[in-house]
Amino acid sequence: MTAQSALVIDTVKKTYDGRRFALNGVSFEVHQGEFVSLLGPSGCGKTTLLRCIAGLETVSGGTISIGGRQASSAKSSLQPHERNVGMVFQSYALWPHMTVFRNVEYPLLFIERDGAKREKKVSELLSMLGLGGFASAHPFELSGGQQQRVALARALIGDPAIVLFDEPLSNLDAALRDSVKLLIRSLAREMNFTSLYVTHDRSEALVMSDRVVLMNEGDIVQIAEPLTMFEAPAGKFAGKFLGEANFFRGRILSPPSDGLVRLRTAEGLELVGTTKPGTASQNDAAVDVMIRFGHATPAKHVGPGEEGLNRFQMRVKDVIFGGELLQFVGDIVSDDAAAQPIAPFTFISTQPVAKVGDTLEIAVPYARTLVFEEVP
Amino acid sequence: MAMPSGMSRTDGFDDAQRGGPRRQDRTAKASWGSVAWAVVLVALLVVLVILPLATVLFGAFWSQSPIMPGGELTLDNWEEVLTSRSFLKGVRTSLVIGVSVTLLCTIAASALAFAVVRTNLYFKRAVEGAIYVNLATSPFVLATSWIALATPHAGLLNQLPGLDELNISTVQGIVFVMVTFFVPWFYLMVKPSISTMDSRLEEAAAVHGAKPSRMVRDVTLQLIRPALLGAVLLIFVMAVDTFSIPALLGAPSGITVLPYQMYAYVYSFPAAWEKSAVVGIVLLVFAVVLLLTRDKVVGDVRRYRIVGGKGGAAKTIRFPPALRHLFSWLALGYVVVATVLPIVGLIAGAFLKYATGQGITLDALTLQNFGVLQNAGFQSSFRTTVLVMIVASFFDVALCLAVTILVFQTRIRFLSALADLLVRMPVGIPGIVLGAGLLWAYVRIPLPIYGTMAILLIALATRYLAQTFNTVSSAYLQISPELREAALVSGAGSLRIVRDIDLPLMYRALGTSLVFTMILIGGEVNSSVMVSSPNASTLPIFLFQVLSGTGNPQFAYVVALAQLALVVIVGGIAWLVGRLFIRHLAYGAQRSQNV
Repeated sequence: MTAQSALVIDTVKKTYDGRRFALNGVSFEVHQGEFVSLLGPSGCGKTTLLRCIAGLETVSGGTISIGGRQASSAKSSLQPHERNVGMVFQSYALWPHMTVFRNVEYPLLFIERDGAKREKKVSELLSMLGLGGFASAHPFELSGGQQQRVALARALIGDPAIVLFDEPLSNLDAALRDSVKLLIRSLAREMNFTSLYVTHDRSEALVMSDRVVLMNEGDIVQIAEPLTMFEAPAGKFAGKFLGEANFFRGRILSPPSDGLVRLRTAEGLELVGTTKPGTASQNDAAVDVMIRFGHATPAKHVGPGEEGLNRFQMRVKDVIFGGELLQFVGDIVSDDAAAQPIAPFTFISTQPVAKVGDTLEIAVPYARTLVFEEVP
Repeated sequence: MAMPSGMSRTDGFDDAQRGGPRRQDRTAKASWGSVAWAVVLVALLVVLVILPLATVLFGAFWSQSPIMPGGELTLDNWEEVLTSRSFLKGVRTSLVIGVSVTLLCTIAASALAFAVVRTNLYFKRAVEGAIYVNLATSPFVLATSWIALATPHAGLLNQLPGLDELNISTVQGIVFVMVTFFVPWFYLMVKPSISTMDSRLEEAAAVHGAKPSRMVRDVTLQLIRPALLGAVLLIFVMAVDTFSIPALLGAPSGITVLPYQMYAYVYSFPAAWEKSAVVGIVLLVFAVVLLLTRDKVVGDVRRYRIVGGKGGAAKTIRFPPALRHLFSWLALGYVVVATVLPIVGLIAGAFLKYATGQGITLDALTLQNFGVLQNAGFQSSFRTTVLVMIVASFFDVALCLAVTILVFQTRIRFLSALADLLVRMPVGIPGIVLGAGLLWAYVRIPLPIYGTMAILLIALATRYLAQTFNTVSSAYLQISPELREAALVSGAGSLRIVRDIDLPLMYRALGTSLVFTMILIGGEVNSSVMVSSPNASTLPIFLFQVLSGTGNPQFAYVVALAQLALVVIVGGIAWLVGRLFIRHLAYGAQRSQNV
C-alpha cells in the first residue's frame, strides 16, 4: 500500500449463500485525486464491489482499505458512516421531504457541531455547483441535472476520502448525460477529489476516467488508461466491450516474431496481426482477430509505398449514416473474378468513400489487426 | 401451522411492492442489541397470537371447562359436537350464508369497481364515497338500522304503502345486510387491479386480431383474476367467521351460525367451553385451509405485473346515453339502499317513541330516547370505546412498524421470518376464536387481566394486526432503499434513519393506517364479545346487550347513532390533522419518490 492510495482493494471475494460467487478475488488501487471507473456488463460484480466499499455489504474474503485504514475484511467491517466515503446513488436518493440545503447539510450533522460553520460550507458548495438559488427548494422542484448536482454536493460535503458513483447518469436523457459527464470530470479535476465510478457505459468510462477497471463475471479483465484499453484491449471481451469491431476466428500459421504473427481465418483469409508481448502462440493455435471499424480504410487513401498493411477486397452492401460518421457494411470477397463473399466486414469513415455495390480494396495496418488467444 | 406470506393479502392494497426493493445484505452479523429487540418483539407476538390459539386447541381436547379443576385429554367433546343436530344445522346455515354473501358481493363489488374505474358512469364520486361509508359503519350499526327499517310490521319500510312483508330476521335478511357490509371490503381488494390495468395490453390484443369479447376474456379478466380470486376466498372466510350480524338478526329467530354457537355454548347453562372450543377449531381449520388455497390459486403475483414501458392509464369505456343512464341509476340505487337508507332508518328510529304498525305521525316523535345517553352503562362503554380505539390502534401501528423494520431491515433471518409469520396470522383466526382463546387463557393466568379492560385491549389489538401490518409495511416498502443507504453513508445510525427518513416519509400512510385500524377496532364485535365484562365493555357490546335484552329497542338506535358519530369524529380529526400538519411534511414526497 502506498501513501497516496485513497482506496486499496486486495483480493476481495464475495459469495452469496456461500455458493454463487459475485466477486472472485479482485485487487486494484485508487490513488489520491484519481478518477477510476469500474466498467462492465450488468451482473459483472461492479455494483456489488461498490456496495462493499461503501459498507452496505460485507466481503467474504480479502480486505478493503480506505484512506489507509482497513475498512472491510471477512472478519470485521466498519459501518458505512465510519468509512469517510461519499456516494452518489443511481436514483440520486435525495430525501424528498428535505430541502436542497438540508439534503446537502445532512452528512455534516455528524461531523460539524457548529451550525454557522455548516451553513457556510453548504452555501459555498451549492454556489460552486451552480445551485446557490435553490437552497430552500425541494428536490422534486429541480430538473434531473440539478438533482444530480445536489446528490454530488451531498457526497462531497464531508470531504470524503473517496466519492463512490453508482451509475448516476442512467436516469438522465442523452443530451444531459453528455454535459453532466463533462461537469463531473471538470469538478473532479478542479476540486481534486478521488472518485470510483461504476458504469456499464463505455463512453462514460472513457470520457471521465484517469484509469478504467474492466470487470466481467466477478473478475477484473484489464486495468488501463482509457486510450490504452481502447487501442490495446487485453482480450476479445475487452475489445468488444470498449468499441465496435470486426471479429474473426483463426489459426496461427507461423510463430510470432517482433510481435507479428501470420494467421489464417476460418473463412480462409490470410492476415498478419499483432499479439501482445509474452503471448506464447504455437503454430496452429486457435486465435481471435479483431479489427476496429475505424482502423480499416480504403487502400486508395493510403500512401502507395506504405508497408505493413493487410489488404483485401470488400463489396459494400449498405451505407449507414449515423450522424458524424458513415458506416460501410458489406462482405470481404475473394480476389478472383468470381468475387465470392467470404466474411462480413464493416468500416467507418467521415467521407462518402464508397457507394452501395462498389467493390474496393481495404487496408488495415498489421499493428491494428489485433490477435488474442482464443478463450475457451 | 404454516401461514405463508400470501395470507397478508387481506386487502390487496400492496401486492405489487412485495419483493420489489432489495433487502439488506443478510450475510453480515447482527448486533446483540438488535437481536434482543427482535426477541422481545417475537415474544410479544407469541403472547398475542399463539397463546389464544393454543388455549382453544387445548380446550377442544380437554374434558372440563378451564375454570373447573381437574380434567383429562379426551375426544368426547368432538363426538358430542360433531354428531349434534344443532352443529350440523349451524354448518349448513353458515355455508348457505357464506356462499350467498360471497356470490352477491362478487357481483355487486366488481361491477361497481369496474363501473367506477373504467366507464363513463355519472355520480362516480358519490357512489365511491358511499361505498366507503359502509366500511366505516360497524356491522352492528348496520344490523341495528335494518332492525329499525325492516322488522316485521313495525319496521319503517313496512309502513310504506304496498310493503309490509319485509323481515330482516331471516337468512335472506342476514345475507343482504352482510353483503352491504362486505361490498366495500371486496371493492377495496379488486379496485387497485382494475385501475392499474394498462389498457394498452387490451389494445395489443385488439390490434392482433381479438374481438372485444375475446379480448375481455383473454386479457382483461386474466389480469384481474388473482385479485378477484383472492377477494372471493377472503370474503368467504370473513363471512363464515362473522358473529356480529347473524347474532343480532338471526339468533332471536333461531338462525344460528357457527360463530354464534361458539358464543352460545359459553353463555348457556351449564357453560360448555370445551364444546365451544371444538366449534372454534372447526372454524379455524376452515379459515386456514381456504386462505392457504388462496395462496395457491392466486399464485405468483409477479406473473401479472405489467412488464416494460410507461404505464398507460386504464382507458374509459364510453356507454351510449341510454345504457349510461341505466347503469348510473342502478349504481346510485345500490348506494341509496345500502348506505343512505340505514342512516335514515337510524335517525328516524332514534326520534320515534315506539315502533308501531300504525304509520308515522308527528305525535310519535320524541327526544326521550336520547335519555340513554345519561345511562351509566352507555357512558362507561363510550369512554371505554374511545380509550381502546386510541390505545389499541396506536399500539398496533407502532408494533407493526417495529416488526416491519425487523423484517425488512435487520439481519436476523430466523426471528424476522417468525415475526413476519406471527404478525400475519390473525387474519386467519376467526374473531370469536381469538376472543374465546384469550378469555380461557387469562382466566388461568394470575394477572389482573381477566375481566378488565386489559383483555379487551389485547383482543382488539390482536384482531386487526395483519391488516395494519399490511398497510404499514407496504408504506415502508415504497421508500426506496437508496434513501436509507444515502443516510447510512452520510453517517446516520439506524434509529436516526428511522427518525429522519422513514417516519417523515411515512407520516401520511401511518396516519391512514391508524384511522383505518381505529375505525375497525371501534366497531369490532366478533373478538370482543367474549372478553367484555360489566367493567369493560365497548359501545357495540352495549348495543348488543340493549337489543338482546329487555330494554327499549328505540334506545339502540341512539346508541348506534353515537357509534356512528364516533366514526365521523375520528374521520374529522384525521382530516384536520392531515390538512394542518401532515400535508406540508409529505409535500412532494410522492412525486419525487420515483426520481
